[in-house]
Amino acid sequence: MTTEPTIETLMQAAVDGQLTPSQKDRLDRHLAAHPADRARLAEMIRQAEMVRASVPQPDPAQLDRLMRGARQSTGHAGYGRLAAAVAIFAVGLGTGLFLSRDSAKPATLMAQAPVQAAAAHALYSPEVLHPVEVFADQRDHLQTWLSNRLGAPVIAPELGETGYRLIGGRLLPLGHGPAAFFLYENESGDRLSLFANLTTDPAQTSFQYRRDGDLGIVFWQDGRWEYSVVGRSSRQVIETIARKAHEELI
Amino acid sequence: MRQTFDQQIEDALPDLWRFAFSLTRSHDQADDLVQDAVLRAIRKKALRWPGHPVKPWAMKILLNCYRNDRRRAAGIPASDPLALDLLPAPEATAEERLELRWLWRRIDALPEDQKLVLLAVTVAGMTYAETARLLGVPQGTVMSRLSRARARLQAIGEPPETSRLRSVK
Repeated sequence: MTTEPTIETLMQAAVDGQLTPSQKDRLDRHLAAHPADRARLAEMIRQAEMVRASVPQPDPAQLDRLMRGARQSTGHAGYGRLAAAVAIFAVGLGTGLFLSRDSAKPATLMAQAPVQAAAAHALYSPEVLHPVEVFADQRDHLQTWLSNRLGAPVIAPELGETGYRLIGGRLLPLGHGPAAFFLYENESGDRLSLFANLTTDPAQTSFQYRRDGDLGIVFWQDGRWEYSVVGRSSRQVIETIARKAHEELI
Repeated sequence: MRQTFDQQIEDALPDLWRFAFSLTRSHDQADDLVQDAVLRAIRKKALRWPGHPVKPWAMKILLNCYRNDRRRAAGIPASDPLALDLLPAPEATAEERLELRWLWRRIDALPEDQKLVLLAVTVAGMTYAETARLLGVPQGTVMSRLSRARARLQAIGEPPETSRLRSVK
């Protein structure tokens, strides 16, 4: 059900030039009969204009410099590293071997997380009574606890319009370190999990997809954080959730 | 025709900068914030939601950079409302200049969530839908915060005291 915006909302929208023509008509009729609101609107517009005008316009030459500076910092080194990370992951995908015990190369370390994430999802997502250690009604506590254990702020992203809601989370091991595990569920009972862990080797990758049995996994690294989204849904759904999660985790 | 990522970033730069300036009230800090945000945006390009506009996304990165900086510099006032790089209108009277200062002191005294909505909409030229996305709240919440913020700006009387006030001549 869509409700008509209130007059108060229309007045705000009038200040910001965000009224539709029919809303404008409706507001004009209201204002014609309510001089006090007319005066208040005029004052709000005057103040907004003052605020807007008092913020300087940036110097275009300075913006050019900022843009060039940012581009240079993301030059060769950054893309080389990204390409390497992608290639390493692709090898992992190709062989289906994420972890080989006799190798200590970063390749295996990096690829460890999605394997562990898939294992965790397979183990915990069917649980009815104890899928998580801390439920979503204690979200703050969950986030604080996991942040303390991982040594960096961890948030359980809101997946909003995707229809998935947080059930809760738990602390899990990854190699010798900690990882955060968040479990989500939609109205039809489909479950997805997000697995987050820190690495010592910062990098940027794009989204990498693989299947492990009937599970789909999307993995990406953003700075020191590695993330894996795991679920039984289609590749498209899992990738959508990964993008949404990433957007919330920026 | 859809614009390229780089083109969209460049088009958004003036609004990004003005938003950064309104948060920090300083040319230098605004420069730093914008450069930091653009750098992160370029690095994260591959993780973007394809087809979604770049500006709200870049704004969100900028806001996160700002919040991270604030957290690091906890205890240091975010902006000095009276060390104004702000521009009064050229023909402004002394009274109008004073009012402008009062106005910004009131803005700084707003609760953070109301202040962010007000600045995103008024200074950064964002739509209500973009602002809702930026702050991760429903659009109705944006409207009520905006309404409360503007009501506070209109309150009569002295703006709330700030510690820097005494340095005013």
